[in-house]
Amino acid sequence: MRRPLWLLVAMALVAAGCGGGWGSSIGSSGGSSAASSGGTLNVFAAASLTNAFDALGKTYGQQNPGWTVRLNYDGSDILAAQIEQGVPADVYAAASTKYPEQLQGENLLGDATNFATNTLVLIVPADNPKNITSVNDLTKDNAKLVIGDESVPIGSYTRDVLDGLGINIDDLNIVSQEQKVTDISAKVSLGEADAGFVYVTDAQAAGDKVKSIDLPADANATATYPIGILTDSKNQEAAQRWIDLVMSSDGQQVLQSFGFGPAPSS
Amino acid sequence: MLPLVAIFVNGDLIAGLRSEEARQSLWLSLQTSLVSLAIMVVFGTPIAHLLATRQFRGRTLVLTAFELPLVLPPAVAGLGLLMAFGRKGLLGEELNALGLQIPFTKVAVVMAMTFVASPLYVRQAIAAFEAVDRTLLDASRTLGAGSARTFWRVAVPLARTGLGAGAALGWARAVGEFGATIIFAGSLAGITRTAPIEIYVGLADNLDAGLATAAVLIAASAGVLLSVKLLSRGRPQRFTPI
Repeated sequence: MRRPLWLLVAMALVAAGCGGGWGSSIGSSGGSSAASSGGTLNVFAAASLTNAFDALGKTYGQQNPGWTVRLNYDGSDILAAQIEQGVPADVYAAASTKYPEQLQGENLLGDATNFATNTLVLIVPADNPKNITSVNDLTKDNAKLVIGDESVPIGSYTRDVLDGLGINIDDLNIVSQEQKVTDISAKVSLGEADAGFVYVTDAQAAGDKVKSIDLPADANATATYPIGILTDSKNQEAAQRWIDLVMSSDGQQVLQSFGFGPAPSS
Repeated sequence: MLPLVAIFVNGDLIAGLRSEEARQSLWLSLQTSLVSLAIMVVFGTPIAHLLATRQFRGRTLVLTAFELPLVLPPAVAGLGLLMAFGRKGLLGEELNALGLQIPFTKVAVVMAMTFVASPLYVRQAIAAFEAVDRTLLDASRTLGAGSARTFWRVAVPLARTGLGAGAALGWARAVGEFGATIIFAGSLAGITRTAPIEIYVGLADNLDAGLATAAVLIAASAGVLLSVKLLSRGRPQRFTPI
């Protein structure tokens, strides 16, 4: 019985290997005839862009037959670290200028275009267990607050906002510092946290699971989202077409439908 | 081997070890994993002995239920723990009434670790007890020892190398737990940010700390594995009376 067994395993592996979809990011799309032959575009995007870029990914696939967009969402800092360590990527879209500038300094990223903006909002679970109506209520009653870690854009913007509002971060009961903004909105949606600072786009995405509490406009932070092509990308033309899509009026409309602000005119 | 070697040669490990984040996370991992190990061993050993020595209807089902967290993706484990013990979970109201809110606490970290790692220990313990010569256990009973005494004085000592190996594996799995911890317990330095989570957090801003943490974990795991192997060398798994 031993021979047939390993033969069976070998056949199964060969069959799985022939299934396709393997290693398409390792240069199988080629260089010159990219437009016609198709391939896979690796887009690394800040977590807050999830819904918007998922929608644009479908559009891109329709406009560019043969191309699939593989989207990797995470904190902008984690994505930058992956890029620095050589994980293959074609496009990088971040929630702040800090990490694109860092990558440009290391000659890993080309010129970047600012394609959208975002602002922060305080969210609470739909049933608002701690009865929070404003930012000042956060210090009362030991409300469990979840914010972003300072290494992530949302965390750094949150600290700016708290500074601007004159709230001492040590007075707050911070129970967790997350690595991506979608984890913050998840904890609030699930009712595990009493409040969290997220982008308005995340509040919109969470729908009726959360209630939003607006922040005073003069203290709010504006997040600027740059997008650029990685210098080592083997799909420069396809990457440029993604950026063109994002900057087009259709692309901008999609982004704004999810709550983003328009590309800053500069 | 290459990934392990790469961790040691790629950064400034000394500087990394000096960082507050690395030290805090390693200390937290040590505390929580040892508590988890204690729970696993105290509760898991008698259960394993029972499952190893008794035949009963539904034994296979019970065994499968115990081993399930082993093959479960950690994220699933984390989600399950949240759904059971979270504020809005199945036991949420009862726990709240007792003044207990588990997510975001060290208790949550220990629970996540124990949930995913104890099947590893129990499985090894069952195998260790099964390898003990039944005639020795029976002899102990016929000589008048109760089942508890037989367990403590005969079964456990005879199974000790297997139990030790299981404890080493269970501890290592507990230390390495990431997905369930981050979902159920959260990520706060000193409270819930264990070593694996710290490595993830520090990837962009503090790579040296992450590398140093990883190096310590590798050294600790290697040490534990080595001692278990050395202890079990030259000891036969079973022996019969002369």
